[in-house]
Amino acid sequence: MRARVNGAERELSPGMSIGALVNEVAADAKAVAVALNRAMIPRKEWSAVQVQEGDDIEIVAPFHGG
Amino acid sequence: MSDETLQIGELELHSRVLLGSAMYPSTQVMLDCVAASGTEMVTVALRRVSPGAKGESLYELLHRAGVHILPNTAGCYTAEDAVLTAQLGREAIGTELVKLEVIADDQTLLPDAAGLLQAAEELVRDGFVVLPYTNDDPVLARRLEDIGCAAIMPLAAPIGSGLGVRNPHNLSLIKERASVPVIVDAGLGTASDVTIVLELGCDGVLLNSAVARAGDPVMMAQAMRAAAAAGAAAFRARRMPRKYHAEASTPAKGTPWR
Repeated sequence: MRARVNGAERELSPGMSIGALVNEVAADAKAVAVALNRAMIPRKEWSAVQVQEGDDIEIVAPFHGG
Repeated sequence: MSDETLQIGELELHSRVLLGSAMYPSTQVMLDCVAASGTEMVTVALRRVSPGAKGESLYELLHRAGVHILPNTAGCYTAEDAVLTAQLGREAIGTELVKLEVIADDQTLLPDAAGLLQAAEELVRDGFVVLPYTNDDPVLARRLEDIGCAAIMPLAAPIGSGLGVRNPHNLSLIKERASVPVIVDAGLGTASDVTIVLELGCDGVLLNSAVARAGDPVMMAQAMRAAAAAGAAAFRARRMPRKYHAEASTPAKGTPWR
């Protein structure tokens, strides 16, 4: 199953949850937030939401900014 | 709001300086500037996580420094992007605060007034404490306040220009008509710029480039802190009236040989 994660195409296991994906991409990251197909997914829903073929996922965290 | 505090929504800050977290020569210099400026609120952006990033995250460092973290929507060119970025910031950091930026174009980095109003309205409705980065336009400022923004953040000059206050008259008008704090954001270059803003009666400043890109950022952070205190005190002290002609301060009476 292919999906777009932070702008790059990735091969993901079918049925993978957002939570599992976050663990894979940003295991040590703190204060992470996720947008799935341009909608924010609250942390409490991460384990229940499964990534689908062709999804566009952004995983972000605080970064230096003005 | 008392003379010594800056009230943003429910928050009471004891410093009139807000600081950005970008462009410092190192993370340690950034933390030293946070301490030296006396700030209690630091802005951050939301960006893609870098896999395998090592060391303490910016979030942890700022959290440990004991400051409020103000997520921005930098890099957003539409109201839709700004609203989504604000939602990501709230989820990531657990704060209702957002420094709302809807930028018109890359060359000017000026706010897009229409997009800003639209995003502000949606975010206020969704419970955010919205601090909009806006033009120094008194009418737009009033509209943003009417929508329910918690502060107004007019620019002094274009972002990163360090040109200082281009239109003090407009900043005065914005302040005169506002009942929420006016925090001047963008374009300040040095300590005297900060003093001018506070002397005009504005409530605070948000600084980033002026500190981070100074030759000695930590010394500049100290200078900014002093400048804000001086400007706020001068405003409260009510400056003397301006006069067209000279007026001797030493009395003429009793002058010898006259």
